[in-house]
Amino acid sequence: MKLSASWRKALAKYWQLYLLLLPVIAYYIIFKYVPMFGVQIAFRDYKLRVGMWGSEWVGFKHFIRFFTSPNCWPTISNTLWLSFLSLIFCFPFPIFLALVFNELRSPRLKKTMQTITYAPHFISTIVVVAMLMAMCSTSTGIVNTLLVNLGLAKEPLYLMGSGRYFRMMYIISGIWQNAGWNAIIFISALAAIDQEIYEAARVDGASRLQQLFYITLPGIVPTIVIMLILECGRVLNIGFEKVYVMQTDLNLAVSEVISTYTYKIGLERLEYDYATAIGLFNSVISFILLITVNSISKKLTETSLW
Amino acid sequence: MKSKRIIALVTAMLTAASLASCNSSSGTPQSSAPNSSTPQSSEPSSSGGSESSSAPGAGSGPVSGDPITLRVLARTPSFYPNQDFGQVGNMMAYEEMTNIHIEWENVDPGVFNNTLAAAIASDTLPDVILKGSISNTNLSDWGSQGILVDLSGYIDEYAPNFKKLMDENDGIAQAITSPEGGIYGLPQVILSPAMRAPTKLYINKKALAAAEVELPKTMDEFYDMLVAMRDADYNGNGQKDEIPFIAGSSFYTGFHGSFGLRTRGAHHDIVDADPETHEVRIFAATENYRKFLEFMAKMYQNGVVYPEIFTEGVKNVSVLAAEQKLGVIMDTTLYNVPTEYVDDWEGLKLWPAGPDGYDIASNVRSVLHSVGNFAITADCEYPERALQWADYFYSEEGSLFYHAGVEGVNWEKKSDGTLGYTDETQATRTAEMTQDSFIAQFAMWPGGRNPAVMLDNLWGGEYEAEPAATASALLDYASDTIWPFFAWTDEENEVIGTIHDDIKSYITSSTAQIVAGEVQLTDEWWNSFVAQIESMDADKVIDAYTSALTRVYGDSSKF
Repeated sequence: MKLSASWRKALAKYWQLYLLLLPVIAYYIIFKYVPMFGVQIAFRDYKLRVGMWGSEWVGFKHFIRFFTSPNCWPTISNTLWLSFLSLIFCFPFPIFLALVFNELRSPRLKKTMQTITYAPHFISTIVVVAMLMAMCSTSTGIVNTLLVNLGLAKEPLYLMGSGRYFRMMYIISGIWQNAGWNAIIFISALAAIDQEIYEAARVDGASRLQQLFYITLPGIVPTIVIMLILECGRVLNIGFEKVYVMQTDLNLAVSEVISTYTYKIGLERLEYDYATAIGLFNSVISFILLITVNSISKKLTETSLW
Repeated sequence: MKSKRIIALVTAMLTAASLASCNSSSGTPQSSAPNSSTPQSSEPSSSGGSESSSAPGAGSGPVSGDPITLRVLARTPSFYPNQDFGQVGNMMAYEEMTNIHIEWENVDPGVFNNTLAAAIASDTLPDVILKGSISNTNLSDWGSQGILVDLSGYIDEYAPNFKKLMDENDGIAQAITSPEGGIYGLPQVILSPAMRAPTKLYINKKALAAAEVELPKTMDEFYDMLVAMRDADYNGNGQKDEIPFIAGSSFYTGFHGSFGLRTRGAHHDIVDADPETHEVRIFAATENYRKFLEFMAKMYQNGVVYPEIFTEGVKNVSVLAAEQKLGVIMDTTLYNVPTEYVDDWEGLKLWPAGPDGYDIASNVRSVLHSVGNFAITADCEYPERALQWADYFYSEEGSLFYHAGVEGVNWEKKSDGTLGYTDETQATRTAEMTQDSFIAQFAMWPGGRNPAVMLDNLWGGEYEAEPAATASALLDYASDTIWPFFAWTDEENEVIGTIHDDIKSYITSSTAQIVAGEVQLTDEWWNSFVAQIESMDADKVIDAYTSALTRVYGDSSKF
């Protein structure tokens, strides 16, 4: 293959940079693109011994099995509910946090607050759920002690067991764990807004609130839209770990989502082909959602991924 | 603008990641590095090396032959995932006894299935799969693919001990023979009554005395006793902090038998046969199940059951028992109760009768505890010797060796005639050790899923006096027919693997909701519950069971 002249020139000039890029490209090829060939397992009757290439083709058998299984729709609707509720409640928090940090005048306070809010992101999900279990225990948990003593609840609430509170607990703990971390990208977007615009506004007599609504928010709208599009693409890929460890017999009716169901089939029962089919369905829907939301946003706001 | 570039970069990466994540659950199974190890034991001594490697065993005593090496993939216990079986005392001794050197590949139970699948897919099979508890489904699937060796042709000659067990006990051969006639794995055989009834009710004698009631004989009396325990302040601290009943998170499943449900034993979760008509049925869809739900809901909602049972189960038993708060524990042993309080507890030697007089101990095992605990793969060069290696554990002597270690070193006959650990072995037990981690130093018992027989000659755990006496008493309350594990055909498997499991999870979550009072048990709810089970293709599950049962029992009156 003949590289064009400008390419060759760029390669010669910036070869160190390209060298640095190489491991990342290799990572994506080896760990993300090559395994995509495995998708064909979803269309085969996968036998371990003969492997992927030797297994018989069975067409859409596994997909039909999933769509006709009684667990299919409850699982999909649980996934959608949990995702949309998370999206609605979790998405605005990082933006709010970023705006608050932006208004803080003391740089030290700002840094401290930022560190405090994003620290929980580094705690393992398993530990977070264990902490929740301990804090929300009906007999010894501090949350229930507070709720009862403040008169907010007549008797202790079975927060971690009951299906009623499952989504709420999932979302609140998600906000606590990730809002600070997700705020970073908005903070960097805020930092990029030209300070001269603020000065000009102040000269014109704009109040803090007016500055917020007419300069700051419009300044980060593209970032918000991009993040929202990406979140929509992930709607069906609800985090597996946390849901799985939060599952009890009692909340199973609302907590069985596609990823936990796939896990039970694929990794516990070793039906790789069926699990892959469900996983593939999941990804295809996510992909379609991503494209749709992206093109809508392109039309409406002229901001899009590509 | 700088920020735009950052965003573009982040976006590009995220997009690539989200697109590529299409396949995160498929592709070539990821092998997680097992802790493989080679034990540093001395070279096998060549004593008795003259015996040919194909010589059949004489009935007891392991067979020795030319020195060979076997690669064994073994599942470690969940409480001790990093265990190295090569360092277990009796396995080190066994190398010298058999002249078979084992290269252990110890695999964490959390990743065992996938390690095994990766080994099969990448053609790096071990010689033997140990403690794998491979389901009958996978056994026959892998057997028919030629991954596992069909042992049926070898058993007569190379597994005399196991053969004898199979001939003398009903229910072993049917449970492990695939519909095509192959035997691909060896089970754990439990001939001791102590092992057969894992669900027992232990009652605190002090709480019983404080409640001023007799031991219950019926479910109503049982409930009244719990209420009395709740209201009597038996720990005398002036507070109503007693928890009358504690059990595992699915506590209600233990009481099926009082309502004439789950009449065919522990191995089958949602299907049984009507105790009178022998009709195969999904028992959750019967009127009796409604009575059962009402009773369980009454128990939980009236505060006689540990309120956090769905999330905590028996986790807090040791703390609560030490605080003298518990009235009844439903568990296998009194293992969670601190030693100084164990004598306060008494096993209920009957099963409480329900409103219609049913007093079936429903969670009772057949003569098998689990299947697929020992399998030989097609890559094994010495299937005969490997089978002989395991066969010893199916003899009386070998079972002791497997479960309790080396005679004279780890255990001995005491002066009163009972068997017990030697003082030297007892001395190795430190305060932090549980019974399981203590035994794991010198024997293979802990973690279960053993290719061995369990007779009455063992001690500890289920064999302690109170659990063992309770279990034997409960066996009188078991059904005459306990269905064994079934070896399903491919067609049946497809139904059992999907529809059965879906129905089971629907029943589990609906039952939990009713018991906890999140949903009220109305006529409307009940009708939709039954209709839902039927609409989930319950009849296909019943058909699969009927055809499997016909293979085992022949006549439907024997179901």
